[in-house]
Amino acid sequence: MEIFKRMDAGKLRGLALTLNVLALVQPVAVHAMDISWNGFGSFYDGQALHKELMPEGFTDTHVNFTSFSLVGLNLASSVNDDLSFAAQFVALGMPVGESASFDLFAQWAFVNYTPSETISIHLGRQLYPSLLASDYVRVGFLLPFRQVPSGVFGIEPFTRFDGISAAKTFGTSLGKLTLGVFGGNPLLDISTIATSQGGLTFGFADLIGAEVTLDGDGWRIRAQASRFLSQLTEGSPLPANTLSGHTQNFSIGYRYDKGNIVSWSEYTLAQTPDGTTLNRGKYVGIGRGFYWLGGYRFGKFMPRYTFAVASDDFNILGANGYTNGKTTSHTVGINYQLGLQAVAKVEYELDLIPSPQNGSYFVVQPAGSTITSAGAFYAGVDFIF
Amino acid sequence: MTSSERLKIFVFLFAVFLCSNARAACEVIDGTKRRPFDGSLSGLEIEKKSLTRLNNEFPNLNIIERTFKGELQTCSACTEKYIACTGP
Repeated sequence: MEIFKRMDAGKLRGLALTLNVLALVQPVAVHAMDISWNGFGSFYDGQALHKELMPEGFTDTHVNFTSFSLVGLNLASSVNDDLSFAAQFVALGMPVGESASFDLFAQWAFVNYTPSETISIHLGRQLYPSLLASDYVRVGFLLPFRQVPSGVFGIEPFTRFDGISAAKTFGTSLGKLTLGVFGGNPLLDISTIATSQGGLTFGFADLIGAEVTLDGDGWRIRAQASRFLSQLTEGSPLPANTLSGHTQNFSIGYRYDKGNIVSWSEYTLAQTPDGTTLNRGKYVGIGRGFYWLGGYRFGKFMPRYTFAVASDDFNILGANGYTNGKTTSHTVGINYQLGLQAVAKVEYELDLIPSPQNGSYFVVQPAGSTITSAGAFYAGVDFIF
Repeated sequence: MTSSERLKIFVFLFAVFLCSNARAACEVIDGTKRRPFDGSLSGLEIEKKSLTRLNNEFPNLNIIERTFKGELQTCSACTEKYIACTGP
């Protein structure tokens, strides 16, 4: 749910203060630090073809640049061989949290402690590693598609957390095995002002989880399981309700990129078995997402196809009734490598829903819409610098 | 020696040159010392301009991916131990 992926400026100020304190207590080390930087971006125009059914991010059928574009900057500095600081600042076109469109916010900012080549510990704001590409989900240059299909990316209600994570790598006969654990307090990506005006107050807490990754020559397989407390308080203008439960999240996927063949696939599931029950079922009852991508490189060109399906039973009351449903999408596209640091992508996405206004949460279905399929075009470029 | 044999020797030597050049393309610069990069990234910065070259030379390291995850640092004015690659 893109609506949840908003920032929290207060936490950023707190982290910045912490880093300042660290700088004050280690003045000698700070003077020796060099700051390195690099960046990335995605500039895309999108156009939905039918106003009665549109992919997430559209509000009408006019050409839309803002919702599909962003610029990011990575900053890093090391105190010594074991200890470094890193932060990623992103300016998203789509309005985020309390920030206006294209305001810069810290997507992550953490201390990275690597006591040995095989162990790393992150402390601070970091990305929730729910998916194969969670660590660089906004770096389109590293993705074979324009973006991770929203029905999979959006199943998890937040993208970041304040906390700690640790990972250890082992060499095996099959490949490099990485085991990781993480925990902390999820950061809402939603504007608290906007949600309170709509009568909703979201709360997520007590995230804990683990991930396992196996890397081979040109391939990766990965699985993740986590659990967190999810709460939703509904108030005026909605009927008063307090809903809560422990949400379980599970994902498994692979990527293969070797020679001319590229393939990614992932399945994700979120459910709240002990969630508060409403008349219609449980709050965040269950959400499922799946995608499969196949591509083949012909020199600088890579034609690709992505199948994605998302279904959800969230029981969140929206402007158009309850947001439960299913969406299937077929996306065909072509990537063209523009030198070593940029790739142009053009794609057409066709969305299908079982009956009018019964698509998943991740498509826009205005009240009164009567159609069950519609498409959208996107064209643009992903780059790093 | 016939011209054909000379051509074969030339091609062989050229191939050896290319191979050796490719393997020595990335080096660890440590003060005034240089050594071939063996794939160990511990405690090393990476020359910003060599990122894509490193990724091509050592695809299994996923250098660009790790850089954008915040695990590795790049430097444009390196002052200590770092990795540099020759070539484009």
